[in-house]
Amino acid sequence: MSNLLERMNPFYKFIAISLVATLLTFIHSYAANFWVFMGCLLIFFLGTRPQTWWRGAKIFIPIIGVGMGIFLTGAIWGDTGAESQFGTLTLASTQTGLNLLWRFFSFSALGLLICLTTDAYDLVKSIQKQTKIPRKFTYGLMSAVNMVPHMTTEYRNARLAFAVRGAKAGPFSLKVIFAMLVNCFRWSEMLAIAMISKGFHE
Amino acid sequence: MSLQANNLTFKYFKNTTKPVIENLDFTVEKGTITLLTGKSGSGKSTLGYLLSGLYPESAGFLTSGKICIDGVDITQLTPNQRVPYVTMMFQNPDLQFCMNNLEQELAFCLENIAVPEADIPVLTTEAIDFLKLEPLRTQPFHTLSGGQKQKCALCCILALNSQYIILDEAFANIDPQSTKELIGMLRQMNVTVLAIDHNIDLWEGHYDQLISLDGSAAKVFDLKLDLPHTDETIITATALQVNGIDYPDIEIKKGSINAVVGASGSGKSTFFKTLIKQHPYKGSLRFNQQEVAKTRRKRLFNQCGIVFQNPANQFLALTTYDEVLFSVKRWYKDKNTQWQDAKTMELLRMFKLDTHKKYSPYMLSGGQQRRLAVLSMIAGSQDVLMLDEPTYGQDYENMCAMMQLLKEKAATGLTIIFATHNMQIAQQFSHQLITIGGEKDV
Repeated sequence: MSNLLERMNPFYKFIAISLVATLLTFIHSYAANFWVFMGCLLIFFLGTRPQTWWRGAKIFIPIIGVGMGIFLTGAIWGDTGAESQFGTLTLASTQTGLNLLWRFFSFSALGLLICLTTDAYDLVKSIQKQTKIPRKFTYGLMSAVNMVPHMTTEYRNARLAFAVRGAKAGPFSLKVIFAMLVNCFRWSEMLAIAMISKGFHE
Repeated sequence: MSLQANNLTFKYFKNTTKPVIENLDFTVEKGTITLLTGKSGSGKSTLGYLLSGLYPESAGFLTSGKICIDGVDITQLTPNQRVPYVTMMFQNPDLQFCMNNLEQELAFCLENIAVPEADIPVLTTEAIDFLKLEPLRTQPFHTLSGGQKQKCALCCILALNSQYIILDEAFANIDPQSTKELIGMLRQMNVTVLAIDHNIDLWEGHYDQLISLDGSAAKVFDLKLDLPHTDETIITATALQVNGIDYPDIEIKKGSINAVVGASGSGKSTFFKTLIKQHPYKGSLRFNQQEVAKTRRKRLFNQCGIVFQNPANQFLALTTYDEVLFSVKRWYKDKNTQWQDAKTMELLRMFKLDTHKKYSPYMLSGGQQRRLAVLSMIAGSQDVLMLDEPTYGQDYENMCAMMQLLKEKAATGLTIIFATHNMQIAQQFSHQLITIGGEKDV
């Protein structure tokens, strides 16, 4: 088994996949979507290691579930012809369902192809190298991405703080979100200073 | 060859009448270790930011004075030109990484100082090996303990190879043994260090100069615990295992003060959070004779108070006054507004926060924030109060005031459990010393 896809230049991989995804948005044939999906599967199995297959399978299971939901929605309610009866399965509605299903699968597969085989850090570094975009942009983007797990931790901490202090706060309480945002703003400010302290300069 | 500050006056707001730092003269000779102390809120961290050139570039106004390193005015240099001269490690370990893990952060640092790309992996490995941090190399920062993050931050600072290093409470979350090793390493490296620290003991025998920013003399903690406790058991842990960490069997008596010690990442904070049902566990953990896993969270929150390691995590009001008032109102619902106001002010005065009552909690210094977090918890009447590193960033006077208040609370039957790396406080001021994960080090 090769890990060709994992070793491939992340920037070129990103461009190739983005190009296919863009072209696909203009094609409404379910056959084209089906073949793109099959192509993605083939590339995925040939270009990655078995460990990655398992990760892919785990992620794809819920996608299949959602895909079936989308198919049924399209198949049952997708025929808008004059003689159709709302909620009846017809040839046209089945085609709409299949269109939606393979479209959803093909875009998901394209997305997974890049997500499962590319490290976010490598991708940003590669974009920086190939396109010569400013470091300020790439590292700014990277630190923002790296803040996401901290933000979820901040949210959990803020909720815990409210609970421990006996303050009522629902799952989407504005008070909790405000406390989290205050911490995150402070965080981003301190992060910028920390970056400067480490010599970051454009 | 030295770092010199002449006649420095700095304020955060242009129209403030009282500057944070006023007419300060200061010299750090090359190759020496200087220890900077002073009361919390006296401007130590601000001075660190100034000396490393981060202020006034990022905040505030330098109304007079000049900072020169080896004759070069650092305010005239760009960040990457400054790094060969000076760099700073910050007080809060959560707020200093922009990458996801140590390996990436080191690459970022080395790239900033224009190290050729081919040399980065070698230098990264060298820096990691030097501080024996290989197990943390690719671990996401948000999964590390406070002490582990501080070690990673130090690793990055050393990799930058600056002539002068400013350390702001850099070892507060690291266990004393590791801290002493790290200080020894710094001494051997012959790097010039300006360390802001309240814990002078850790630097004993290593510093060349001691400067107190407000003229207060450095003291060694000598408060004794002369308080009996009941024989009634309130917490027991038997064969407890949380997130793969094995805990010793623990028995905590009602009204006692208990110190939890252990190396960085050994699971002290995890133990606290497990007690309020934030982590699943194996074995038995009983609180008030009831298994924690079978107790409702709300009940635990009413009976256990917790002060987090990062105090900013627990503020929920817009001013310091409101922060304490919130707790007073929760626990003294039956009292009238006047009484609640008087109680709030009494508590604020006790911790010298009354002069900052209109400030946002986030505008307070690190030490002041910690005192406020303790106050807002101690205002209640829970059965147990857990404090994660309560003395971190505190000057002697405030540390004693805090411990005195804890003692008074314990006398009323409150059980106190605090995690600390300060062994002196742990030994002198607890009925029981609970050591967690003796061997874990990184």
